[in-house]
Amino acid sequence: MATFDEQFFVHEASPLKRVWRDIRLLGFFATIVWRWLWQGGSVRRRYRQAEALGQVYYLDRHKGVGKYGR
Amino acid sequence: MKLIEPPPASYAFAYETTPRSGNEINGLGAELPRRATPVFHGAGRHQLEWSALDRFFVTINCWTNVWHNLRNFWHLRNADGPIAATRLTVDDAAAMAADVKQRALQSGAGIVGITKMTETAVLDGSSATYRYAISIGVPMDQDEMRYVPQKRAGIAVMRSYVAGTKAVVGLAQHIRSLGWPARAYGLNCNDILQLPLAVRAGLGQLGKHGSLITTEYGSNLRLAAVLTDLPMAVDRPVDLGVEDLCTRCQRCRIDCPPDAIFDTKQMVRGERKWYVDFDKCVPYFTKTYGCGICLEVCPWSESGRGPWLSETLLSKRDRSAGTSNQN
Repeated sequence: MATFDEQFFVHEASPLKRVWRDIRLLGFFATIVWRWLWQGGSVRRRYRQAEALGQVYYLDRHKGVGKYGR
Repeated sequence: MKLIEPPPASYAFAYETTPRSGNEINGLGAELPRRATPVFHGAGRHQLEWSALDRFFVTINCWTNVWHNLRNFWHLRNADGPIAATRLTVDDAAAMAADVKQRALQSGAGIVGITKMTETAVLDGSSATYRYAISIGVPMDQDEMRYVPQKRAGIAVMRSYVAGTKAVVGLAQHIRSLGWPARAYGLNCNDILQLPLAVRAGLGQLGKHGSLITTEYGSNLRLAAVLTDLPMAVDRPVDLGVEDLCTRCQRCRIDCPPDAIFDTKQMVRGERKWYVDFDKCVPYFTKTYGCGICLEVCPWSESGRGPWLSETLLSKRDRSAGTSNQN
């Protein structure tokens, strides 16, 4: 997977490239928000349940939502 | 500072398959010098040993911090970029350093220093081929930080991180407009270690709690940096008397709920220094949305106390050195 730098740094002084980059970045944000709400909601719910029942939520069983939208 | 009663160091989350110890990855006990290896926060192609906990940390964090993260990424898109075709000739490196520092302070930095870039500040697997590092410290809102280890304090931390990123991105853009390469490193830039650069740039000293201690803000600040080739006069590391106090002070050790702070310096990648037990600290950090207790209880973090503390410790050291010379 490409890094943030590889995906979103624009090294040329081209306004068009920068606008296109900004659009792609907004799309990336939408993915992060969607995953935080959808997948993240499920993780938070299961964690709260485990906490309330005195059980353990296993981190490596669920993928969770990273700040990079993964 | 009197803090709110922190939650106990017990966890409703765990790894089913225990990852390799973060202390081992960090080089605790390793006699040979080597570059640090990313272990928890990280970006890019590689899954880190503790990535699952990092993802969990972000997932259970509040919406406000997700929002601050997005703001941070928005600034970061300009962390690197086009360099002006005409390069400014720098005849006076000291004047250039003064100008850069002034701009950093105007952009939101509380303190700023400059040092030569060193390989040891670059994480293993990353590269940063610049000659100089401009290290900045952005103070955190002390009224909000009283609420550690609660979400409210975590939000204040994120706000300072974003302010730091914004400041260094602006500074890097300015330097590139002078025709010199410059790259900003703020929150979510995991290629370099901010702390050794800040120490070398004279911002402060490493404390027992494994964080920077400055006279201006104690440990109540966040770091960011610009790496560049722009010629500038460099600063020297400072001696504030931190060692004299940390050696005897127990405040952060006593107040750390997971008992993660060592009482003595540890050998880490060939250097004896203050070190925090990663395996104990990070689960509590995750549970409490960023903890920060050690930063806030540190005597240096009390507002306005740093200069007095430094002066007192250094003069006491001078006096005792004088007495031992007479004997």
